Amino acid sequence: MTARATATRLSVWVRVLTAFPLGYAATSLVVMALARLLPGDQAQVTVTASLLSFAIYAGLVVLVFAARSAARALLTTVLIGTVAGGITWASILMGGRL
Amino acid sequence: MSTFRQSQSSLHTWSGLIVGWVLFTIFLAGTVSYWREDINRWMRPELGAAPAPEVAVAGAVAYLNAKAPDARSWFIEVPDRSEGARLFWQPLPKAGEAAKRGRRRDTQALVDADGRPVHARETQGGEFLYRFHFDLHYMPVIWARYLVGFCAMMMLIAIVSGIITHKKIFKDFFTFRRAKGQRTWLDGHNATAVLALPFHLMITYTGLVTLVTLYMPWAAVANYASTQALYAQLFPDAGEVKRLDRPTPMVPLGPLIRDAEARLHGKVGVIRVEEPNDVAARVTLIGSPSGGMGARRPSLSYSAATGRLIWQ
Repeated sequence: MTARATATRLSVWVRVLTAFPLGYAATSLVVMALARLLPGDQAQVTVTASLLSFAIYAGLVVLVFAARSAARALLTTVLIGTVAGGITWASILMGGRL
Repeated sequence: MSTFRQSQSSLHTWSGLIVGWVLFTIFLAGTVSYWREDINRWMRPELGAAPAPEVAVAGAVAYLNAKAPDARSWFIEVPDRSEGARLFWQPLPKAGEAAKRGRRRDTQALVDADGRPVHARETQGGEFLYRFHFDLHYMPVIWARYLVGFCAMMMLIAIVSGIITHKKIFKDFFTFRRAKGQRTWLDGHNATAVLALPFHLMITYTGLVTLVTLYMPWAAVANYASTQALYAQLFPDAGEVKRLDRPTPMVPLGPLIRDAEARLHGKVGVIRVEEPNDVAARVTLIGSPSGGMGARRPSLSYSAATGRLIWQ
């Protein structure tokens, strides 16, 4: 196998692992942040964020495979998850849950 | 932007290819489930015609009064096209004994208008195909549901990436080049996929949303310490019934069905009786699934001792 083919395979596997297990985690955190931040009745907001989750996940997977490099895709996903997770954590610390 | 389009091409191919065959069995079982009741009837021709709903419910109550008069709760499925009233009951746990789930077979029955159990051949009929749509039958239920959810998510990704990949989506729809090998297959694929695109998107998304509490419970986790608190807010009901241990005969359910159907502007599908034959007994009449789109049917609760409407 040539070095180039190996690099392509590596890139594909990094993207697959970024998109599916990691992407799910990042989506979950984004959904949690949305559920905390969206204005309105708490039950309705929870439902809205849940309904959006699959569209967010699909969008994230599209982005991961469209990114210029696998490393960039990985970093972006981790960044999104970290920011969303941070918002959720801070929001729950300040506001608490029902 | 052509590279963006190209990047989605292999995603479209592989996300479709890997789960396509599982999805096909799910589609087949789901499509056939539209005729679930009809298949039930067809597979048990020995059963007679469906009794009138009120007569069937009176028969069901007679059977339950003889079989489980002091159960914790009764469930009566009002026959619509089915062969009789299907019943379930939850026995009252004995003192000092935790409520345990017995074998379901021991606490369910199919009874005719006279309250006699109906015997028919052992088959799940259309219920098998309906369950197969999301339980896959050959594996543990919970794993099947995760697998079905994964496949549905892959299908959503395949649809989205397919739309992105498809450059001249309108023009190509009217293009069909025959006898050109792979080109012809692709033209056919484009035509059928684009024709039913809204339907494909809809079945995929609603399929995922049906089990959203399993696949994406995280919004609820973010806002509620327990998911029960969310359900209590979303689906309020009359609350729990407290047994008072004062036996009281119940009013006939026929007039309650008529009253509920007038208020719900539709048929009653399921009747739940909590703490039957007690002074606190409560009857909840739940709308029939044929009456609307929502998964949660509207319901009304009545006192079974007086017949008074207590919650709507």
